[in-house]
Amino acid sequence: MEQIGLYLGCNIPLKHPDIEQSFRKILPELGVEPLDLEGASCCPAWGTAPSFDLQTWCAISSRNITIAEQKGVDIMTGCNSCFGILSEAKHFLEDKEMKKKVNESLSAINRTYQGTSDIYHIAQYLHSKVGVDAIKSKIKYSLDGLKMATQTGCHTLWPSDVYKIAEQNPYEPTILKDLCMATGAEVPHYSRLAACCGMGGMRSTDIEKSLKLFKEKLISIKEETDPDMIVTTCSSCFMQFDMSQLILRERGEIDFEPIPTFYYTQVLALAMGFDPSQVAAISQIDRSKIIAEMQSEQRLVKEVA
Amino acid sequence: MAKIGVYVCHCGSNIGGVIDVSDVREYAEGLPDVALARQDLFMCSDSGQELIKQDIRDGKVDRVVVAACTPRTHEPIFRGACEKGGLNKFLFEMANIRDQASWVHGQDPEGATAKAKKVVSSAVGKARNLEPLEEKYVDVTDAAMVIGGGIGGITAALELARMGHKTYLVEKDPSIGGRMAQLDKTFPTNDCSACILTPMMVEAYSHPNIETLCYSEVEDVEGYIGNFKVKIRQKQSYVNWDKCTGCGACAEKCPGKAPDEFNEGLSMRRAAFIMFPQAVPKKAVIDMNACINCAGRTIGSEPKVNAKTGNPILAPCEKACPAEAINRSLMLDPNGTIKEIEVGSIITATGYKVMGKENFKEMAPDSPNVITALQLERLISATGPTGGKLLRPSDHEKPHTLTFVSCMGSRDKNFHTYCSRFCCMYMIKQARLLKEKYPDLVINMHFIDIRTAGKDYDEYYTGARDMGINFFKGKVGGLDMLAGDKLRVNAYDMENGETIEYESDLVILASAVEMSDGTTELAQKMGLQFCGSKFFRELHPKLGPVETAVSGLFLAGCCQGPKDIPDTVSQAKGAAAVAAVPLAQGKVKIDPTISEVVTEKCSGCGICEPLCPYGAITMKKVDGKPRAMIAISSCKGCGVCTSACPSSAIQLHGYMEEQILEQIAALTA
Repeated sequence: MEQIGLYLGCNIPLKHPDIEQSFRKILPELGVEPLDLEGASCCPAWGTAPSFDLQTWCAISSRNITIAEQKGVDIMTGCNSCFGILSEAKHFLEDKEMKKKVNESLSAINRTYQGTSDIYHIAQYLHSKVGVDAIKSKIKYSLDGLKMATQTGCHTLWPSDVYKIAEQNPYEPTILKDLCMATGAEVPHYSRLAACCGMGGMRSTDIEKSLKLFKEKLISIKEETDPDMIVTTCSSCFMQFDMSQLILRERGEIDFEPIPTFYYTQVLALAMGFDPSQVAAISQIDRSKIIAEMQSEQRLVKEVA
Repeated sequence: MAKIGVYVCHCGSNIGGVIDVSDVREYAEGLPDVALARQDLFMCSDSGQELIKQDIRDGKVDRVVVAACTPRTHEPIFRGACEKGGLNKFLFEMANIRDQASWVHGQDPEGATAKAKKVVSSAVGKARNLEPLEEKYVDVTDAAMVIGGGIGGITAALELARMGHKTYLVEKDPSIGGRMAQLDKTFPTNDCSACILTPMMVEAYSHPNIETLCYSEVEDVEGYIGNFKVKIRQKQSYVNWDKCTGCGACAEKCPGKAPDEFNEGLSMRRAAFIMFPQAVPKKAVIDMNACINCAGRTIGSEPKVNAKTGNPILAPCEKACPAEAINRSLMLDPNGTIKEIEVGSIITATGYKVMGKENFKEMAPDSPNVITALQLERLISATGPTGGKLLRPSDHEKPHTLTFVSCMGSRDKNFHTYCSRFCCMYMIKQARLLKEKYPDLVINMHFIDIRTAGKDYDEYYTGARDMGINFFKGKVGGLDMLAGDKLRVNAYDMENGETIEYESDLVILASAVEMSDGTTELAQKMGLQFCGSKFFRELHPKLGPVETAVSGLFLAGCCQGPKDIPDTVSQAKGAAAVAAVPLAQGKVKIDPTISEVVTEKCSGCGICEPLCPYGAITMKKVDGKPRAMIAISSCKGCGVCTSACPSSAIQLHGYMEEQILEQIAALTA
């Protein structure tokens, strides 16, 4: 079984442990053994060290990467922020001077950064290492006929030249689309596909501006595709879609019911037949109806003799 | 013992503003063999040069060192002064204390002064060992070649031909005309491009002094100013051009299809085709990449025979040709033929291409309604795919809102930092033409800023504002594809400090101008250099805009940098004027700073022969033993052989071993 270092970050294990559970359920089924990176710290998140000191950022990120290096595995994360932070740090560490300085810091805790572990986002890993065909072969409930709107999230798109795997055109991303279509679902294009969801620093500092952007995007999704659900591979985008649709609805700024939102591996886990109470239990928007639909009997894929 | 005169130049404040010129002069006075040292505000001025001449005439000096600016521009001036004073002009050496000291060490006057002294002392060291050299002359072939049959090449060829020089005009496409032939109308007077270009094409093609070689590319260039030997590959057209009348019957019948390059891929052409209706020469070619070999008629095959009639079964193109110009039974060489010509000077006018929209990922390149400005040019041209009607590529409907985006790939460090220079004007031209024809159109133009410097250009722009065309200052961040093949434009309006969004039916990208395909290979064949922006480097950005580092090789048009038609024509006429100089003189000087073999020292090892980039070295028998010989007319004085010779048998005049060693000694003292 292929081993991969699972870097959890903070949002997924603390706010959405069901997303973490979905990773842990689907990966072994798909032939991947996630290894825990014991002692991993904050990535460090945007707004912390990356905002004031590049070398500190690189030192903390490199320490996290060395945990995987010691195990001889690459790193996979489900959080776009962690992915962006670790990938960009690795890019900065290609500079010999930076690497030297960081290794001087790491020597205090008897660690050395080598640069041998690559950084993957779980969506990229599923797409390029596991493959769409392998995913298709594990689908228990076909999501044929369901319509999904995808939200990739910015930190796996830009800056594309520092990522191990980059979209061919970050303005028209296709990785998540391919993954969603592997479940049998339909994934129509909408015009604000690459637009910002308003999460991150903007949400903390200017919620009105954040909601304005979010609303534009949401309306584009609703009017242009009217999907059964929104599927994302970014935990921050997930929170924005799950929290803010209700706010807009309450304020009367949208005239439709909030669209159920899932992290992609939750959708996949449900399609693979895992228990929703373990893999898709926590959300503000009520998802019970769509989950029941996804796992309804008539969707069962008939075993091919 | 040599009597060296050292002349230190202030160059106004260029040198004097940083370096203590008097200190350098005093120092020079104390160097070995220096007879006198002087300083002057501008050594290159008449009075400065007079100082040198007078000292030579007075017998005070017999070697001259000028410590000033760059030999690239000023060596010929001072050599001339030496010559006029009565001294062999190669007894002169230049110390570049401007580029190498004052300019690069402007923050450190003391250090710059110390370095200037070293540079001067090195030049003096070399000057002590200089020897007089004699220039030689060779005869010139009275003919010129112009590469590229666009407006620049046609203009240059016509000028040369009118001066009475035989001129070969080489064009890679089946017709001359170039980019200008693709344009609808031209700014700032809106005259029809074809109407002013076609007569020139015809005149060039029919001029008795011009031999036009279309569908041809330069394969190899050998030789030097006055005597270039050029191999030209005439590509295989699969049509006998001597017989072809340009009727187009073959194209009508041909079922093979390929994107029409002349229409920038907006329509399809046939495998057998005539480039465009006004093509000169109007001759058909068959594009074998698109040919489907109808009736199994691969080139060189015998036709099948119709069992009933007994007649051979021919391909539609052969059958259709009333002039019998197509015969697929002939075993034609797919590589075409090689024609060898000899010329005295060469003008390169290879033009440009524009970046494709696929480079701009944020600009919805997958949408058929995002096009380049050159594509729009075809879309509004009467000879274009829509017959001049403005129709969206996606559904051939008339658009209502149009968006122009400037500086796509220009002035952008992700692509090219340079300004493509004529986009602002052609965008305004296109907008004006469209607004005149379709007053209801909403035209929004987005610029970083509008650059309309040029005679009558700004008036053309302000006129466009009066016509109701909308101008926005600020960049377009991206385009989103909407239902119905529309596009959402996301832009920033700097004047109102706000983002703007609107729906557009057709978006036109003014994409950056780049060197044409194949120019790197051409540069290698000819020894042309590129500048930082990847255009051909001229000899001097101000004073040698048409010359290159290779004497006898000249530039015209966009291959030297983006420029519009008026500038291209001006430069082409300038290039023709300088290219004609050696032809008119009938002889050219051979620079004596070239390599020579000391036959007695040569061991005949032959190491130098393959190293010479100019093929100037041959091994010849001397008393039965092989010895290297250098052809003075081919040697460029690069010094590769000199440094590689294990027996030190090759000397490079002007860079002799003792001269170089003294320079090194001075610099390391």
